[in-house]
Amino acid sequence: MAVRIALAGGKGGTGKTTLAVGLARAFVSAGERVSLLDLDVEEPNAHLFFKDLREVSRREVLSSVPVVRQEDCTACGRCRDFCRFNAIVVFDKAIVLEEFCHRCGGCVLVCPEGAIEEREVVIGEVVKAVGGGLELVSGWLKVGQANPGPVIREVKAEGVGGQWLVLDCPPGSGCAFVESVEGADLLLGVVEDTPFGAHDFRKAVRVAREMGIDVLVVVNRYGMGNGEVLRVCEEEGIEVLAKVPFREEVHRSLARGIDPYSASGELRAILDSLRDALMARVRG
Amino acid sequence: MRIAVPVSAPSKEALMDEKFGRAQWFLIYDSQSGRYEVVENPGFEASSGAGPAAVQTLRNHSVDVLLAENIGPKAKDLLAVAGIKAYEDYSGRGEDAIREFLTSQGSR
Repeated sequence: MAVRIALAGGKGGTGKTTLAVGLARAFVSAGERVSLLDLDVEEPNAHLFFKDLREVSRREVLSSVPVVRQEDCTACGRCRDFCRFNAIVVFDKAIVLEEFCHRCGGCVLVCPEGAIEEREVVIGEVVKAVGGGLELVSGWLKVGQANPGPVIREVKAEGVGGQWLVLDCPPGSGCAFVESVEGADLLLGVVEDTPFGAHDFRKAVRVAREMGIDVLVVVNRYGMGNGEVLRVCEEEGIEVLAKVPFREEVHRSLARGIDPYSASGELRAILDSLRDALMARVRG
Repeated sequence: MRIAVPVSAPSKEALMDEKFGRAQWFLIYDSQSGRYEVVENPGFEASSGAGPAAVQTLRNHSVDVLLAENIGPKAKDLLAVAGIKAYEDYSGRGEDAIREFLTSQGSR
């Protein structure tokens, strides 16, 4: 069965995408079948590290929004009172505020007049491409859409070709994070060696533990901060699988779009040993 | 005309709350009766949609005019749909904001 590794960590900009692409390539170089899933659907960018991608499929993600049939609405307000997201107001008739709606469908059920129906709208796209020896599935949430959940779920449903599923997760520890790491076999925390990285990582760890997901860590930009990340890991009993030192020349290469597995010999060796550690852990 | 101001405590002497959607109280002045009343905004701690909930509260209390320090763009749109005129850049005590508004209206 495929192994799902979620790269996440709370803070944005810690190197999740960089290390997800690097780790995916390290698996490829060991002859493994890999699916890389870009779940940061508000800002998907893993594809930028690949030069030879060939698109194999593209499909729309639909979600249903409630629509009130004005002539049947009696303005009783039950839909509004039911909606915990305050996405419905009742002035003369009920009005659905799409940008607040989480598509739970509750209003449709509670309307005593049957005046609310659901209409499908396109909220995003899932694009599958192959290249670099792997399969890359990216989710794109349309601008103006508030809820990334359905797009994230579709990417996960589509990206199942590999033995190793490398999940590049969105920052934060809220809904999008939860949706992304749900069902992962392990969460590989990509944590920056700064007080900010440590702070946000603590929150992500709490959520992951609540969900029953094992957490391991890669410390990124190691040596540039105050070492607090390592103290957090020790306190929480989290194993640090790798430390990626901060190297200006590597960052220069990445900034030119060179993929992380090719950017430096040192980084490649770290990614290979990270891959081996994960393989040993999973396959015993 | 009924005029509402978000306030930080349930009294007409209270200072305005700089947040519209997340104010706990609205001070409402009725120009016909000359009376003040304070209503609670049930959505003040809502995790989502505090703006819509606040607009709903004003609408339920038949408010015509809202005076606030600032109002977000979504709330502004919804206030327009609700037929409530909204004015920004008011601050200080709630009662004073209402008086200032009435004076400016009278001088027109």
